[in-house]
Amino acid sequence: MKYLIGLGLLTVLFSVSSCNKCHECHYDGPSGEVEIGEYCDDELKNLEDNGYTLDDTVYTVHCNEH
Amino acid sequence: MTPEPNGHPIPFAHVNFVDLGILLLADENGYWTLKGVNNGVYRIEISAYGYGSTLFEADLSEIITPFYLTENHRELDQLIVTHQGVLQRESITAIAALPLNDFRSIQSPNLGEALTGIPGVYQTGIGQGISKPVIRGLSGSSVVTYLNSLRIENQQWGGDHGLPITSLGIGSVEVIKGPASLLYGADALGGVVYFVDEPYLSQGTSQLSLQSRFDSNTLGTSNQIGFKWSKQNLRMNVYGAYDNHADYQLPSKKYVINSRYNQAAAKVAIGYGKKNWIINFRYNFYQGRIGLPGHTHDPESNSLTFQSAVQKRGENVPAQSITNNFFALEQKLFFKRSEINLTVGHTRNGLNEFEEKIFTPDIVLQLNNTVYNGKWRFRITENLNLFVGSQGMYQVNKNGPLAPERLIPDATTLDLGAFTLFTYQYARWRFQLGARLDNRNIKTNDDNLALNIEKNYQGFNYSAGMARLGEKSTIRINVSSGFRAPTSTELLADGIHHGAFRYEKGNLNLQTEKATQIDISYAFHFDDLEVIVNPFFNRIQDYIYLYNTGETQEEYQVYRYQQAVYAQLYGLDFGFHYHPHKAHWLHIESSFSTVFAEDEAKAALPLIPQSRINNQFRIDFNGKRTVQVKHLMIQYLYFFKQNRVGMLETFSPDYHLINLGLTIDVNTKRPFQFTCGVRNLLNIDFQDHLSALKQIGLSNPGMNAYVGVKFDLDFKNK
Repeated sequence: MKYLIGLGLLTVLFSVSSCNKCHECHYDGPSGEVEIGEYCDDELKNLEDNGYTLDDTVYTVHCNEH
Repeated sequence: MTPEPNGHPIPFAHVNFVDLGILLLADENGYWTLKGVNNGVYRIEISAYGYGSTLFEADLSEIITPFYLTENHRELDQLIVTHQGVLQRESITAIAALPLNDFRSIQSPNLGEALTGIPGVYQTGIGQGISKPVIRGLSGSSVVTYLNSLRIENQQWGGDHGLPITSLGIGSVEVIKGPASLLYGADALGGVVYFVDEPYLSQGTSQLSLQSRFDSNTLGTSNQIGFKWSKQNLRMNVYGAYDNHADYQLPSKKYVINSRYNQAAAKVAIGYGKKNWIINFRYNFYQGRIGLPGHTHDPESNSLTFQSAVQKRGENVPAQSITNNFFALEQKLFFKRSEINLTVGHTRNGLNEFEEKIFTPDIVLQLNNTVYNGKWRFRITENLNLFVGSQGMYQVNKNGPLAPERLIPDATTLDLGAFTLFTYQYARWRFQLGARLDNRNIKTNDDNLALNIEKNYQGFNYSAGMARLGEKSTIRINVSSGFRAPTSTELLADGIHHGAFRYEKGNLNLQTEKATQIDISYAFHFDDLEVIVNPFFNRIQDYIYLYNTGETQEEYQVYRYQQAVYAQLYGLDFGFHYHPHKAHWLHIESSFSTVFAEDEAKAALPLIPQSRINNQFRIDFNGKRTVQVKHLMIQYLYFFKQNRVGMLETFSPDYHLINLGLTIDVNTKRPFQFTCGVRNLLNIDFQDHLSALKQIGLSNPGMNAYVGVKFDLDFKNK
């Protein structure tokens, strides 16, 4: 029974634990791909939704591996 | 139970009441007791280790004991009872069964791959994470999937939408090859894949099982836990599983970027039986995130663009996120001369396709499907049976309101169908004859469409067949039909399908596909040799296919749904199983499958599988050491070249594969099973003709070594 309880606790712990979503991002600038570093969670979502602004220009950001 | 009249009793035989779902274990003297069940006629399967098994119908009010089993040290003549309650060997239709979750076989990386152990069944897909069955050259919307008696819908029209379940808690799979609309309704044109849950335990017992496997190629882990419990009238099976695989490795040692996937599954089955009534509630959950390899922004890409020297498993895009919830309530009622089966169920398939953004999906589709499936069986005489049934389905397909892309419109589909089937047996002869009427109504209700449509399609289908079951040979012939109404995708698609790497355009003028198959099988079986030859011819009127127009739109090749006057698919499954009398430890199984497909102009159809030879050698060891090797399996597969290809399709060269597997029993106080093996032992670089990755030059996985362990802890209930 101890094994079962231990196993159950481990499963619950594993299920409720969450992990951060962090990705290296870049945009396609006029002279090629420009890396802008790693972004996580809400910051990453905002960047994907609103783009990256530089000198009044908004660039579409890509945060996937190629 | 005894081996013969006046023989010694057989201890611990299994007595399976097939219709009732009750499994009993005889005691050491061969006695068993069944309580709480009304008198009636039931199918009973009896088996025992070291003896043959038997299946028969018996009236419990008149039942005569004892039963006798034949001593059998050979497993060649194994009896397989199909979900229809008949022996596979005695079925008039082309049906093949395969046990799953069996440690005695070479382990498969996914469910689709496991199905290819059946002659005539192949797989198509994208990498390891997406796999779907191809039956005698047909797949997708032409193949219907059932999970027990529940029809499963999961946007199966898409080449990148794989099987909607894992092998968790599945006991076996049965494949009906060819049109089978009579019993399974619309769309069963190419065949039916019917998954059957593991049975409940025998009364008064419980079991906890743990299973784990590691695959070297994807650094993948697959873990599952199961708990089974059975009391007098109440039974329950509960399972959970989680798999996680990184990008797969090519024979060149490089990795296919974004071929990673992870999936979680859970399953509950609760059964209750009282007198002449049985009810089963079943729930299946699946959640998977599956990477879609082959994505680039590089306009001058080649196969190296999609490869990396580093293996990764982190979340990436493009990817699919799939969530399935399947509910089913099955009821069975038994009477003196008849039985009623009724299933009501609901399936919910959520599909999110992420293309460029991690958080925001581009395609969001919710597919809700409510079904019923009813069947009444009436025993007119001892030899003549009447089956009357009806099936219905109400399907609602809806796009997410905020999804930026819409590949198919919001639509509802209503299916209604009814059938009648007679079966008759006389001495060694079996006959069946049946007919069915169906109607499918498709209605779009999408504000984004300039014009919504409503279409009705009717289907009339039949099946007629006969078989002669000789002592040493079996011959059967069956003519069956099937129909498939065009899906809303085929009628109305207009957009990029990233998972399939193409722009798809629908066609409102499509008509219903109608198929007729003639299937003949001849088998002979001796004590140590079984041989089966199974040719077929399937003609499909108004065959729907995707045609590459040669145009491009938004940088993707444009494919349009078209219709040929007819297509015909014909071929052969051949197999033998040799189990030499002088070497009981050896099994040699071999099969050959081939299919040709052409349209009315005799031009080859695209995406038709390569012919295949599958040889398998199994050596059994019967010692009783603490660490005992039980089975050694060697599989040799040869795929013939495919040079009959469709327009703009490339041909595939031949290749061969060798797989190895070993099973070991560890007989300690708490015994467990250990398995290990290697797939693609020679690290052959090959591209399966049906792999979607072939068109971007990516090969199938290289060598994969696996190890697995399985614990079964059995308890007696207090």
